[in-house]
Amino acid sequence: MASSTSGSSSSSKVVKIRSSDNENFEVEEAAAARSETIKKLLEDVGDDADVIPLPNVDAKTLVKVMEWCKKHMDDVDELNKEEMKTWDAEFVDMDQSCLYNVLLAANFLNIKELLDQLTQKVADMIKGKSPEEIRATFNIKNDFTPEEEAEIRKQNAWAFE
Amino acid sequence: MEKRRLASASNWPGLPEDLLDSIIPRLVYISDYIRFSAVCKSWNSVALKHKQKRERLTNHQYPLLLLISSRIEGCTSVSPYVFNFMTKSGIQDIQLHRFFWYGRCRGCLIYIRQACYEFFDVRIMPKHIDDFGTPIDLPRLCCFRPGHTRPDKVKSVVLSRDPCFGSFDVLITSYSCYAAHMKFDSKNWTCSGLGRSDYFASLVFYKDHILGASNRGGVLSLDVNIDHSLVPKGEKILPDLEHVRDSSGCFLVEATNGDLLMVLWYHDFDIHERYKLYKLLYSNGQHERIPIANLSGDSIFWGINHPVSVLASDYPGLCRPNSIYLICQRQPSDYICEEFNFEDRSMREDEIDEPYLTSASWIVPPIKL
Repeated sequence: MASSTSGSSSSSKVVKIRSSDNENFEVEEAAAARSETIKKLLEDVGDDADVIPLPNVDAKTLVKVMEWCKKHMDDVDELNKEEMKTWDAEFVDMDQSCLYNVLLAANFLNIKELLDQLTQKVADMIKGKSPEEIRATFNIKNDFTPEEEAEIRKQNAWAFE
Repeated sequence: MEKRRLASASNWPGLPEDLLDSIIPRLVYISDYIRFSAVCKSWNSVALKHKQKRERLTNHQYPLLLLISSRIEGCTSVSPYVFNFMTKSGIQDIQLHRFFWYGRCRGCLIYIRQACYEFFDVRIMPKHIDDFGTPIDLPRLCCFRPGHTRPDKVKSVVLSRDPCFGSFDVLITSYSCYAAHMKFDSKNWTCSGLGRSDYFASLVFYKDHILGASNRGGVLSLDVNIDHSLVPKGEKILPDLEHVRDSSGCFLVEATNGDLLMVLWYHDFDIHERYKLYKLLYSNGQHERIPIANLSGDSIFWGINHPVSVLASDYPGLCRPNSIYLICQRQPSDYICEEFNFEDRSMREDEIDEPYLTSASWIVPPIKL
């Protein structure tokens, strides 16, 4: 497996981060700093930082999150807004397991804009679906007793048509 | 195969509560919210914490647009649309038999059947806009003006409160400026023609009063007398505005913050002058009408009958704050939805492509929490 995915330009400063499964990545500081958590850690350790450990994020997920951070490193001008929207829409279009991990990582790394996009994606996946379809989409087990479920349905039968 | 393996890695029911908290408000439609709460126990318990806010929103829920989708032998179907995408909402079509007027108020769908020229059957469908709901059929309303055989047309139907919360009053007005009033559970309608017919442009129940507004911004309070006649109470609360001509339309609406707003609309005026906006205040025995610049973050939807106000920030991406959405007829069978924004004073028009459109009403999706 590749230990680094960042083919960044030579001039910008690079920081090292380490995933929970002990893979090291080199990322441009400007990209990594999209994460408030990493930004804060960088400020705390100053220039002496060797590798920043991220014990809650595995390598596969970290690659994905950093892909988003790199894309969102610079401010987007009006011209590229549409293109960026398309890119974002494609980015969040991932399987539910991957989405789950990236969502938790974005939460831990505190990347607000990414969190907004991901929670919206989850909401979009819920919309218009029956509870059964939602469970199938997110691989959720029905833990209601038949009585509890009947009661919920009785109260709002119209919503389950 | 790969998917199956990966799927076992996620634990959506155990998603941190703050993440669920930010997902729930994005489920704009109450039906999605209710289905979300029926997925599993942990989602259900988080959803319950949002219940109070949802409940507060019921009178100010993002509305769907109700359009006639077909007409077959006296049976009219209406379909609820998500208006900004003009897609069907997923809520079933509603069948209205021999209907001749429909509109919404307080979250209910109200429709009126005309039995013959002189009789109206009024049906209220509370909080349900499909067949599941138990409709409330009011006693038959015989002609607004006893003795007159000329038919009258219903202009608006206003309810004092949501019938789900208890006893309520109904007020129906006709185009010839007659009014019929009834308290729920009473057997008879009280009908009156009022001298002040020009104060029927818009009627609203607001804090235990029936208020009517004129097309020139005057406001009148109405009272139901002991002898069941409907009369203007005392003097006009507020006289017509000076130096103002008749507006093309006027309405009173309760904002999400509880204020009573009055909007005057001039369809042929310049964009900048098209709407006049006032807040009505009552303090120290004095009524005041204060011009205001915007809607304090609300959006207002106005079609047939009673307008709906929503707090735009509750529905990001679906409506703009400080905007009015108005369904209006440009030409026969040419309807548009006009979006006017009070901040940048911009105007946008969306055509409504609907072959059977003779009327369009906003309807609040049903809810029972």
